[in-house]
Amino acid sequence: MSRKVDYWGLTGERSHSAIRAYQSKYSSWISQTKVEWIGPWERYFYDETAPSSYFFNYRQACFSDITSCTSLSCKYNGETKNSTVVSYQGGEILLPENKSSMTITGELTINYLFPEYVFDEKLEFPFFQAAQSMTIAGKCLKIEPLRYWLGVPSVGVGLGQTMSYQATFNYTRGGLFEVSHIPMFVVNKSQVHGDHWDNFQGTGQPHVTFTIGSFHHPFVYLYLDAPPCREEDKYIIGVNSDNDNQNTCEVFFNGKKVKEPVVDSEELSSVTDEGEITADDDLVPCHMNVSDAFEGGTFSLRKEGPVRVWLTPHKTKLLLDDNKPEITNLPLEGNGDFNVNDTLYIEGVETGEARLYLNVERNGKSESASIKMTLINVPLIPDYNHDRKVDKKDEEYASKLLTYCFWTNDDDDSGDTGGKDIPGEGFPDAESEFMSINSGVIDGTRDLVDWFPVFIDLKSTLTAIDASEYRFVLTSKSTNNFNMVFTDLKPGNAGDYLTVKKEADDLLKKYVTDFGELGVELPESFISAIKERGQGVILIEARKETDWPLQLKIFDEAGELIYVKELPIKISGVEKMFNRVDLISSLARGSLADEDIILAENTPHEYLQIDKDFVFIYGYSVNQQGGRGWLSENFKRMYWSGNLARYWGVTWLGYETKIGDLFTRNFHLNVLNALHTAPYLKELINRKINSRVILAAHSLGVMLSSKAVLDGANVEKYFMIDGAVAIEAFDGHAEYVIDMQHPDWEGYDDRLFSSEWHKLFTSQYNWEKKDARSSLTWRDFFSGVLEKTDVYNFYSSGEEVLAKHDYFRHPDMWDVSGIDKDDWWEVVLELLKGGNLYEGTWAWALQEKLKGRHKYDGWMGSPWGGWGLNLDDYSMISLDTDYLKSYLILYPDIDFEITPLPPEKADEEDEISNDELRKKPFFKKGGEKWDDLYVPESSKKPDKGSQSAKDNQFELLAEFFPARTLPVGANEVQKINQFYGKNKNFDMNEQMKNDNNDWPQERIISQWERDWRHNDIRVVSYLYVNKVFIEFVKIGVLNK
Amino acid sequence: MKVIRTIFIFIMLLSFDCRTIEAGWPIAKITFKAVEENGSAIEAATVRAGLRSALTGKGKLLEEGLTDKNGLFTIEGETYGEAVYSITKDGYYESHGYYQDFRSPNGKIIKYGTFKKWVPWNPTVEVILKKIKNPVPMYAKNLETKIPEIGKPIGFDLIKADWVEPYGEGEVSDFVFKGTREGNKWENFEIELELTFSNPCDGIQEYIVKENDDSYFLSRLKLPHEAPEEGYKKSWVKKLGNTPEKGRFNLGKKEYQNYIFRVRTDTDDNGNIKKALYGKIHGDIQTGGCSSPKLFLNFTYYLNPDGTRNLEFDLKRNLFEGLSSLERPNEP
Repeated sequence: MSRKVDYWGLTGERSHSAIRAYQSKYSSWISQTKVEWIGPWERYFYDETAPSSYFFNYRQACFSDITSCTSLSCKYNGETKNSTVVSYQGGEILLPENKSSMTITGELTINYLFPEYVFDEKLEFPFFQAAQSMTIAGKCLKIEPLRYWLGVPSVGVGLGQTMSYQATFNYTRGGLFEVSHIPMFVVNKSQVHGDHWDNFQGTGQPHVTFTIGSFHHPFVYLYLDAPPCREEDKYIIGVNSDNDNQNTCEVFFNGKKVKEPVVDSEELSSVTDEGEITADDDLVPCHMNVSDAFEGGTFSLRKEGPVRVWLTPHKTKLLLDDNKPEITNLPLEGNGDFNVNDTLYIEGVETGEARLYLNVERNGKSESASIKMTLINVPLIPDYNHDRKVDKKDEEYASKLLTYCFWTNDDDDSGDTGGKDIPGEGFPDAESEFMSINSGVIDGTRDLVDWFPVFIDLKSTLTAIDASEYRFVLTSKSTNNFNMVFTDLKPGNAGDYLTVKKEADDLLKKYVTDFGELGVELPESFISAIKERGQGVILIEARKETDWPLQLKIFDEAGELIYVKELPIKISGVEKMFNRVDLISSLARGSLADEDIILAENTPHEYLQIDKDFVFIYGYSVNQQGGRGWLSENFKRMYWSGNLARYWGVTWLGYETKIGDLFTRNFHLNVLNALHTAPYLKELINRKINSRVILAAHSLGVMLSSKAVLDGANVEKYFMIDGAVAIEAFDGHAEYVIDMQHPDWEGYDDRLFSSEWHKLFTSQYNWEKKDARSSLTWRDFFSGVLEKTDVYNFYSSGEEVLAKHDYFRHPDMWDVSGIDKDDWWEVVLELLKGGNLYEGTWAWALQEKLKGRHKYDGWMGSPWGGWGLNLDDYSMISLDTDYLKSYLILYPDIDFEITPLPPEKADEEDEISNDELRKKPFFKKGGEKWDDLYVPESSKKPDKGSQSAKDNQFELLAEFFPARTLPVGANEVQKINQFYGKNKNFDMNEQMKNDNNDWPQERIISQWERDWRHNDIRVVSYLYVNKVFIEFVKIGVLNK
Repeated sequence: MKVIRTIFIFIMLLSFDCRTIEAGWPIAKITFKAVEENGSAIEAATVRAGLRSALTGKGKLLEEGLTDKNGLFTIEGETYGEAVYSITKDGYYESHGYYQDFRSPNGKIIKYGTFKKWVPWNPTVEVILKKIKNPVPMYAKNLETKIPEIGKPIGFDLIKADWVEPYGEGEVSDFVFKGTREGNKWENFEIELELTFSNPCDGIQEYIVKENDDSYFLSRLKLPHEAPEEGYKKSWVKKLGNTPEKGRFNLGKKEYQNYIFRVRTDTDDNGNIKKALYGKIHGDIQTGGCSSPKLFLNFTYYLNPDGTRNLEFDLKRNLFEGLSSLERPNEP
């Protein structure tokens, strides 16, 4: 912790020395500056008889905390009377009202504690000897408007003569310094120069010129008034609430810490990253300065209240604490370990009040002094465990001064649904283009995840100090690195802006203020809200990476810094906060290599992590850039849902054939990629992570993840989100859905369908050896997953991509695009304008229903199998002309030339036997590429079909054999509930919108009405979809 | 990018069938009529309605406006054959729904590009807006629990939201559930859930809010304002399972199946009801667990403790405290 100078107060010793240098003859005058006078009064004194005799002219005087007094006499109106008071132990002298002067005779010794903050934050409160024999102790700081008197000899100066006087002061407290009063002897005050020094600090030489107006006295007195010093109880010391632990963010890999944090210890309070022990900069040094008169004597020290006193700046030698609050009768010259000239280091332990007493004795004469301290602590408490409230746990983490790790707000959020979330792409949110115009506002609810709350725990301090006398400033040493907003939130609901629409809406109306080293002052209304309503939460976003801490500084009225509190913080790009895995490279290489894994750099302290791993996999048509957005946004949403597990974002090749940023035309190729990538995901989970893994996958990522789990990836819980996999894959006996059947197949018997072709190759067909063609079906392809892990299905009944494509709609390219050749220029125009051609409605159903329906591969369907009809072998017209054959190759879907065998004929088994179907399926065979798949018509040819099916199972499933059930991502999978005996299907559209069932207004006025669409788990702001992430955390127990 | 887009267009066009088809989605026209429960028209209700289209550029067909004095509001535009709407007015619960009965004029199967207009042309869809009358505090909860034992009737206290002793802290057996199961494999199991009651006049009745067809509307107040006086059955049984003989049955949620119930009924000597608590269940009562030691039991219930038949729940006054967001019902 580093603090700016807290430099205030008149340095008694130096002031004294300076004044005494000019007033050596009357050196004892200084003693009265420590006398507390209670007015109304006038006072002056002069050396009437001897250096030890003083004349006072006043009506009433009060000596407070007088601890000893010898040989005191008073003189009233010129009549000397021995005082009846010869010894004081505290108390006061009250003079008769009509008595206006007295003489005190005796030796005065004034000891007092006079604290001083200096630039290195040392507190000095030297004892110094002012005169002899009288001790006035305590109240070291309670100095009323301080008046220094300068008695200037005027003997020899005639009336009307001008006299110059120059004093030198070390004046170390800002504020007004004034030569305010020259008594009646001076008539021409206008000639007083340099009588004001506003906010004067340092060494000063007020130059005073005046003219003697009368001659009443051999001395001219100048009154040099210092402004009121702070009250004793305003002497503020910050509690040493940190441990100076430079706890850097740790890095884990394979369950082991790669980088250990540096842990502080109670005794070694300040340890750098390199292990070097340095001073704890929260300790306040102080010095004792004991009069030489006590040479050879002893001293005692005692502390009261929550402070510790150390002999070393790095806390290796403890002098006083609660167990040992006092040491007594040590010789001033020390005992070898410690002497009175050593510096003490005061450490505030808790908030409250404390005192330190010094007592010096010699020859039965003792003097004492004390210093009183108000100990404050204003922790800056972020939501360390990101459970959307700042509570006791966070206080505890703050007390340990854990580094708070967060990310820069450099993505492109806007509104409720805008932005791709790709770090660094677009105009960074934190540098809003509107910022310079109106201070800016937050970029919509999607941007809120990029802000973090910090609770300024100022309430208890506000009961100890008067806030109106101080300024509270939030700063950072980096240059305007942060933006912030003052909120009305309380610590207990500090995260409501993320989940409660009203709070979010309120916040979006507030102006954003940037701040850096210059800081931003907490407004009075905010301070009041802390005091009166227990508020005090600010929201912050980071513009750039930084390690500089946030600081709260408290300045007094004079502008002097009296307190600094820091929040260690580490801001990085969000992608440095989670582990990233590139399975695209793994797939290309054929193995998962270490270089495919980039470990997080900016991860929180071990207190804030649990030994679990959350792995997230996005879906189809997300390229590497888009994937960065998906993984980052999902990380943020999991973070704000309280996830303390290590987060792994997986990039995979689910976008092959993507055209620009538009869409990916070949779904099937990417299904294949998903299945082929599964081994590397398994290896990642089992060998690289090797921990308790919670796996979550979106859309086609469910295909990849399910295969990895099926093949043995050790996953504790598995969340399927909008899964683009047919229900039958998990539930082999799920009922057929007519909507997944192509209407051109109406009336045909199931046994003719490609989806049922596998049944022709069961054990009844070949009981000796399993024929791999029996596995050419989606049915039960993933059913083993239910047994291998704990599956939860998060689906949406509001899906568009996975929506049911009604049977009565004839599926073709029109469904995909809504266009045909006649208006394609219109579409070109739309695309050139930057519009999207296709939003993906029915995409999943269509890719199934268009299998076998296209002449070319790679466009939302395939040219083989599926729902294509084998017109070569089963048609009503059998024209064996070269012309027609060539025409068919070009346009295989031309059905006005050749019609398929009608159902009434095809369904008859004696018309088309099962043996015949094994050789010549009723569906489109697929040309030479798949010739080997079928049983040869000639028994002389070997049947390579099983091997072909085995070798090409993934491709055949992806492109050839359609599913006939709806996708898990849009429907309940009944088997899951029954299998586990618990409801593990969650309809996000019905159950996972926020508490008020809010949905983005901009979505409502678009074409859909409140539907939770396929990508809404990322697209719609966390404000509306947070429940699903909170449920992930709850089910996965990822927050404790 | 322009080059890529242009290339893409050509690739796409090459993939098309060469049927002669017409440009754009067919046009539909539809009129919404806002009516009271008694059928009278509601003027100046706000209608938000849109015709769905897969094309973003052409899809912003949503219109917003007020119904006329006859309660009517009409929209027209291109669509792939579906309309979506919501109607609101101060003092009424919102109603929203879908219209999916547009059909091709030239056959059962819709082939886009072969016709210009959907039929029926300009159908009038009557949408009932239910009045907000008297929402009251209730015990309302999305209950997710497990039946403590299979084969044994066990009481469930709706106010405590817990099973009665010794299985929980419930005191009153408002519902008595008995779950039985035969078979314990996914491929062959059958479950019977029986609901009975403690008092002779307690009971339950089913309430279906709509037929399971494609076009429908739903009011936010799903069920009637008041529970009926009569019609409560003393027991209710649900069977579900998956057996080789019967196949699968009743495994899925019946979205539009709801219930109204009466519990804690106190009668006089003549059997007249002196006092009773009425409530409702939104959605189906779900149970299951083909092989789990206990059967799960999920349903969303609302219990009005004031002794009236009022079924309007004030969402802001749930008598259960500390419910998680998933446990809190969000319908009145």
